[in-house]
Amino acid sequence: MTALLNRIKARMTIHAHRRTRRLLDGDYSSVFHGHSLDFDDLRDYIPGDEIRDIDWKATARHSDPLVKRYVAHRRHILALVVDTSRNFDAVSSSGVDKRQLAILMAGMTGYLAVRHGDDVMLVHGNAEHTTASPRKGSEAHLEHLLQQILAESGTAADGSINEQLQWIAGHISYRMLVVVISDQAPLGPVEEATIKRLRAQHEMLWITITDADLAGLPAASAPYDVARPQVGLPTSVMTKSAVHEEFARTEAARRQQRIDLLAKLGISHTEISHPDEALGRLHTLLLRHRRGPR
Amino acid sequence: MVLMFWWVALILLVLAALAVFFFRRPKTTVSSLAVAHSGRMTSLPSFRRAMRTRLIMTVAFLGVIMLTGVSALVGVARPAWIETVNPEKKLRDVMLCLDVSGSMLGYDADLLQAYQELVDRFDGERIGMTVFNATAVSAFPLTDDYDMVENYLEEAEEGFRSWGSEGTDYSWSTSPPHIGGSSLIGDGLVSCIDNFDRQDEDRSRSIVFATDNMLAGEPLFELDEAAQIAVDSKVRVYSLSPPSVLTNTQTKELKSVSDRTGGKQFDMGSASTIDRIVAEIQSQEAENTPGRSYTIVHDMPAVPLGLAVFGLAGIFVLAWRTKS
Repeated sequence: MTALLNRIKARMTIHAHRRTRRLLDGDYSSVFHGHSLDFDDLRDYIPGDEIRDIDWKATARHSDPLVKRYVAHRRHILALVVDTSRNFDAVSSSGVDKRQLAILMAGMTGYLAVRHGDDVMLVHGNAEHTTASPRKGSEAHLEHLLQQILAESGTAADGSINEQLQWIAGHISYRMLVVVISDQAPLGPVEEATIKRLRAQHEMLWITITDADLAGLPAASAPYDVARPQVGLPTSVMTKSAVHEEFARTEAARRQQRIDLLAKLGISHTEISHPDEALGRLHTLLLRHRRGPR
Repeated sequence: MVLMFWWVALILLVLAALAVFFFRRPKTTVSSLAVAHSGRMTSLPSFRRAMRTRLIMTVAFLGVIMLTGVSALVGVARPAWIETVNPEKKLRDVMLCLDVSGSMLGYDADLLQAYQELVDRFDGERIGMTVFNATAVSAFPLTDDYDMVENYLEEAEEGFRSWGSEGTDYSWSTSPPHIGGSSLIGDGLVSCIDNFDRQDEDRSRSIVFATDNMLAGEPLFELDEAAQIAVDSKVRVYSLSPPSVLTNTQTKELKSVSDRTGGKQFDMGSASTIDRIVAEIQSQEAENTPGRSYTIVHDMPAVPLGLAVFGLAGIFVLAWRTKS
């Protein structure tokens, strides 16, 4: 029953350089700011580690850089917030299944956390209900969480990431690393307020899975909206140059608005449309977060 | 305006409906690509405009196709203007039969005036006139040239009014010296009957028989015999008599003649007599001669087929426009 996670692990090891993977470990461990003050021992530097953790004196006596480790390293909690509504039964802008992409991103982040010894929990759902899992640190648990995302496929409910964020705001009192996996649903003032509220308590990362380019769909693809499966979308009209132009313009404006909003709230953000980009984008995201305003 | 072969159009319509029903494309092509948030596209003003344009184009296309189809069907159904020609009146012959004997001379001018009024009311019937005294003279044969008829009648009336000094005088020509007697009623009637032409045709024949029935002399035919001849040759006799001189027996005789032949007897005195005679003759004749009406079919394919051609051109134009 570890099919999903195994595939993700394989992708992380096979498709990425060893260096990238080690990089990711470092990226992840430096996501959390602040350490306990009880020094434990030294370990070899891994690229991605905070520069300030390097024990320069020890390094001077050693051939390789050494990093301080601290005892009672707090077990952090990674909360994967995933929109698992019917909107994720659609394709991304690269034509791949959005749900599979969401599982991949959740799996990669979750795996980093598990390897780091942190607990992982999943908050997922749609506009109608939100489900939260217990938090555990095992690979089996992570696999179970990924299976839950998969099990939601075929749901008829519309998505609203605000519901899941509200749930966290209402139920979680401690500090977590919150990784939101959403799509191009617009972020309005309501979402902004919720995000602002969560941002004050948690470390937040945002992964946007980009939706299909509606103006560029070939007629043969016979597209339909997941909200209305019985009605096809008129590709002949959608690809008209005037429509195409306006769509591209408004899409760009919406994208910029999203980026600006998340930047304003101090949340690292990345967009992803294909599994091949996953590792690179995750690395960028974690790096961005470390170099962020805080 | 009727459709001659409407059933052909109906059959074709049913076939077309069946063809559309059986060969129509599946309602939706299998949608394979699921996308989310199509509102991003469908809320765009340009998209809505484009959809409206497409809707209008589709409706126009459909309208043109329907128009073309209906026009073609109407054309196939052979639209025609059917005219029913009823030559009933053309088959009627009316013979004016006037007694110009001495006893009648005082009335003949009035009778001829009455005849003129009669002729004015006729429309399409052929009219002829025969005058008789000791012998019969054909004043004019059966004709539908009413101008000529009126000319003759006017001249005859003038002749009677002026006692032969002006116009046409019939009194002399109808009583030649070698024939004895006058007012030979039976002979006169038989002559009138004999003056009907086109005996081989099935025509409605009637005689307006103006006489006082005052016989003087030895006729070749008794009135009864003449009546029998009229019955045999299917001629109706409408008798018209000046009232004052008629004795009872003579009126009865005339009436029996009219009755036997299927006509009627009228008195000349009352003002409505002419109206009654015309109405009677026309209604009687209408009953008796239904006439062989025949239909003329005028085909009118120009409008529907022209529309179909234009519609076809329109379909090509629209198809080309939607394609490009």
